[in-house]
Amino acid sequence: MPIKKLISTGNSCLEDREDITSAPLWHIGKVAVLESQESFNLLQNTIDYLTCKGKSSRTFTDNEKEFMKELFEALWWGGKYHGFDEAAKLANHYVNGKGKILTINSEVYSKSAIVSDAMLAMKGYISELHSNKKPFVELKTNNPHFLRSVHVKQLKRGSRNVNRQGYILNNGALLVEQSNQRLKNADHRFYLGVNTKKTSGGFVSRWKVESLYDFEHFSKGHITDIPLAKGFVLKLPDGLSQYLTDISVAKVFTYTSQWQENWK
Amino acid sequence: MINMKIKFLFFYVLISSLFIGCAEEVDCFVADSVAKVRAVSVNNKTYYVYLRTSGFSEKEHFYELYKNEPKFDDCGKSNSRPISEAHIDTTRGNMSKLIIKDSQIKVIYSKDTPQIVNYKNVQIDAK
Repeated sequence: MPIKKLISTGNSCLEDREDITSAPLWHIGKVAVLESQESFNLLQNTIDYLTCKGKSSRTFTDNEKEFMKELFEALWWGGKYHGFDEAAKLANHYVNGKGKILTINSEVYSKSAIVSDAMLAMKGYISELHSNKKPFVELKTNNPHFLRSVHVKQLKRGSRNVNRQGYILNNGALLVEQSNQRLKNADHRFYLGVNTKKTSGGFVSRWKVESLYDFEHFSKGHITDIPLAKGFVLKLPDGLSQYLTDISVAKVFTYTSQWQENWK
Repeated sequence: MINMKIKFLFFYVLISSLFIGCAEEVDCFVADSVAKVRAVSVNNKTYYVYLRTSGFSEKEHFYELYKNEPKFDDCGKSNSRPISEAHIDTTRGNMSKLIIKDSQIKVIYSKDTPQIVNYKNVQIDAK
């Protein structure tokens, strides 16, 4: 790239723009319904401009902050519309939740292939601990004894198809099966914990997942592709989503989910 | 809250009109982004290596090996299945290179090499 063009690109956000739209939702709708190239360009150019400002750690105007907030709220509408309720709820909570803990529907976890198989493996391990009169009340998938046990073998890479089944990583985190869009867009990898009590008829277990909702810095170079209509894919840098926490538009938060199971 | 309800009503009406048949709809919330790494020749056969990045706030990366050059839709779905795929599992160490052998793709990790910043610039050994 010629030096002049490099300098021009580097300086592209030095001058404040006044045409920041305060209604990204309106333009997203226009792209989604009418395939409006003009609205798409306006959205992408604004994201690119704000990315440039974020990379130079510049503050955003009120209009620019509102644009980003509404963009995440628009993701809520889009997520709901496509049936990804949890991912939608998380995106909205990022800009409206003030950092408070959020509880999400446990079904998104309990119906996952890797979670179901991890629950089976953990129950086998708990039964073994109980038979050997060892403590079994609290267990998490990153427990080193559990990870070395025979029960984990069926969860490990190699014996599993990552698209249909997911697998357990070396540190005990569960990697979601890639075909499960609903879960992977809400929580891609996480530890599964369980609190178990012995009852007269067997065991009662309270399963729990707790994760942190945050985005990577610009340095990682990650970009999220958001398709609005066929041929119109909005590119949102994760670094820009992260930068929103630096300028108080968004807050990192913990989200959690719990469910109970009686078993023998 | 009233503001949110107005927005919801607005968006509902807007999106509902999709069913009347204006724009072509895409069926994903966020898309997997897919990038070509390079074409590799092994025993006079050409294979195509792609890097898939999936997830929203938490990204995971996968290499995919194709026999024929694939095409992807706006959601990152390919028109043909990869013959092999490999997840970049950062809990196993830093990735040092990729190996293609017997139509399979494998990520090699090392504790001595620094983490590759751009996964597209990976070294590929074809055997």
